[in-house]
Amino acid sequence: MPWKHPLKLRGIANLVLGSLALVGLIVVGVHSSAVITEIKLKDTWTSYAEGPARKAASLTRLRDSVGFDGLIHHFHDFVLRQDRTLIVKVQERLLDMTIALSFYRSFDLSEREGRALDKIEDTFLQYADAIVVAERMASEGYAPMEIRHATRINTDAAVQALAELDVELSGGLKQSEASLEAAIERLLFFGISSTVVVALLLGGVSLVVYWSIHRRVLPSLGQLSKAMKSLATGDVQVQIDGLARKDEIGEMTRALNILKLVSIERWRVKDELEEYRSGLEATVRQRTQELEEQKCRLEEALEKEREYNAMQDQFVAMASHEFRTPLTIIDSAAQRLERRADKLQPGDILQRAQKIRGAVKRMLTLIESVLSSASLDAGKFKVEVQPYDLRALVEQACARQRDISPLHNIVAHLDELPASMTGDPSLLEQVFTNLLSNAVKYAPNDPQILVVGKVEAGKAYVAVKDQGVGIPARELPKLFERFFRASTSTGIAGTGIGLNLVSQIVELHGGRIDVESTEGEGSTFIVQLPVQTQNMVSEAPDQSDRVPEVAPDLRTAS
Amino acid sequence: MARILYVEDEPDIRSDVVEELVDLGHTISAAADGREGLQMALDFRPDIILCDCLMPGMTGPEMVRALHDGYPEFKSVPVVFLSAHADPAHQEEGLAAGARAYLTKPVDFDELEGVLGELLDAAGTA
Repeated sequence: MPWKHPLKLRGIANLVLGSLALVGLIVVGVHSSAVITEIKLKDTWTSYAEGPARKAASLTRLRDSVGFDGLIHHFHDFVLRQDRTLIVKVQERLLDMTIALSFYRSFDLSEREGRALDKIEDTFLQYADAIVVAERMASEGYAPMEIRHATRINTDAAVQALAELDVELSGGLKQSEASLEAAIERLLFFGISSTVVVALLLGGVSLVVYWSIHRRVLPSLGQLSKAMKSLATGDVQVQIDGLARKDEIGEMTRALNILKLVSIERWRVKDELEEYRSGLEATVRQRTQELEEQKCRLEEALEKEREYNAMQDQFVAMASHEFRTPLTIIDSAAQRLERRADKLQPGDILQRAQKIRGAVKRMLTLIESVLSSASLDAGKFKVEVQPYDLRALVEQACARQRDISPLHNIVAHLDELPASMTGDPSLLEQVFTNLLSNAVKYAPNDPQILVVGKVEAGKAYVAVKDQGVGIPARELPKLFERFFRASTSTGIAGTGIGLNLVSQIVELHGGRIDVESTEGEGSTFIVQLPVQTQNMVSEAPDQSDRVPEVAPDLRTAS
Repeated sequence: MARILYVEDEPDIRSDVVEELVDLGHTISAAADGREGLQMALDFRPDIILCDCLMPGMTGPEMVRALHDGYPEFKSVPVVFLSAHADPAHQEEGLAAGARAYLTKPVDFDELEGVLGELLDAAGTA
């Protein structure tokens, strides 16, 4: 592995930037080298053009026919023909050549060139002197041969110097050409080599970057993206590796891990919310159910209220009926007395008086029971406790009922009953009067009525049994409710307060009343009273607390 | 005078009314409840039926309905109810059962005499 430490992406970027900078530097360097080389090339060329080439040009001017040879030629012509115009030409040549020479001298000169130029200049000076001498001799009339002789100049040195310059020049030219070639080669080398180096560097950098990304970045990015997808689809338990990485991917991984923890928290909160919501729904359901139950109870209460109201209406109608019946007896008797007074015998009158008194008693009983019921309702029931004889009390009630209902056969077995009890005899009288009158009333066609008294386990029991219409079993639980009248009572007058009054009076005495009945066969009401002296309860106890007890079998007694 | 069937379960009322009707010159047959009254009607063939409403076993309206249903010829026999129920609901029930008149107790004998006289006149039996 070339990377001992994890490569940071920033590092990769830095590497790329550095490499590019390096490449740039190299390009700039190569370019600069090329420029320098080019300058050198130009210099070389310039030095070649301005040095050897110009020198060569000057040398040519010195050497060609109009040059040095021309000078010699024109000077000979002047000497031989004594033509003065030629002197001007010679002087022109000489000047021309001196300029060429000076020109040559203006370049960098080697020692040999210097010496050669000195020799050539020396020859020129000789010619300048010779022109002066030749002019003077010509004007003095000397023969051309004499003038020629006098002005003979050895040009060998100059010719040799020229040859030397030639050699020297050609050497310089060769050298310049060589340096030129070398410069061009160098330029080519720099160009090619820098291109290759740049290409190699770029390739290397690309490889490194590719390798780094491929080996270090791509797999990690793949893992990261997989983890992200898992997170996005709700898999919060996804494994996230590479948390210890020290580069940007490591940072991303750690950030993703934080996201994962946040997601876990969020899911937890969501679960909690879900739980809370379902709890809430359950509560709402429960409340709804409770409300529903409450509604049911209310409806039941309302239904009860309606029933009670209906019973009360029935009571009012029946009470009116019950009052009107004795009133009718009284009124009929009175009308008879009034209308037929003349016809009536004393016995008839007495009979009417008895009927009237009986009806009045009936009304009084009725009024008392209604008043008692009202007092019970208002919690103002007066109980006057005193010793009384239960046996005598029941016997008297039976006797009164026999008087009222001569057609019924009321049989009483009361010997077992205690003579000494404590309670309110006037209230208890109402109890048995009511039960006996009911027995007669609800058995209009069955005259057998049995009254049995017994004592058992400290309790006195009095059962009143008839063979009348009976009570449907389903109506028995309601029988002692005020105003309730059994469906079998159709056609039989009654207010529905009697049995309610009876049960309350019995309970006030610490006793209870039970009923056994078969529809169409008759009913048995059993009053149970404690024989021991009891503390009287001044208010009516709650009827719902009654505990059923098995009464001794009184029906078999006869 | 007319033949009158009187149905009444209360003996103390029944005796006085019967006596009064007899004194008025009518022929009376008395029954103590609806069932007895129904049977008596068939035997006695009254010109008019005077009847209590609330009676054990069979009420007055029940008796009249049974009579009219079983023996349609009785539909022409006027029925008068004499009841201690003074409320309109009971009166309506009685009239709906087929009664010509509904008198409430305590009954005024003069009024009773008047009503019976009118009905008998209308029937042409008086």
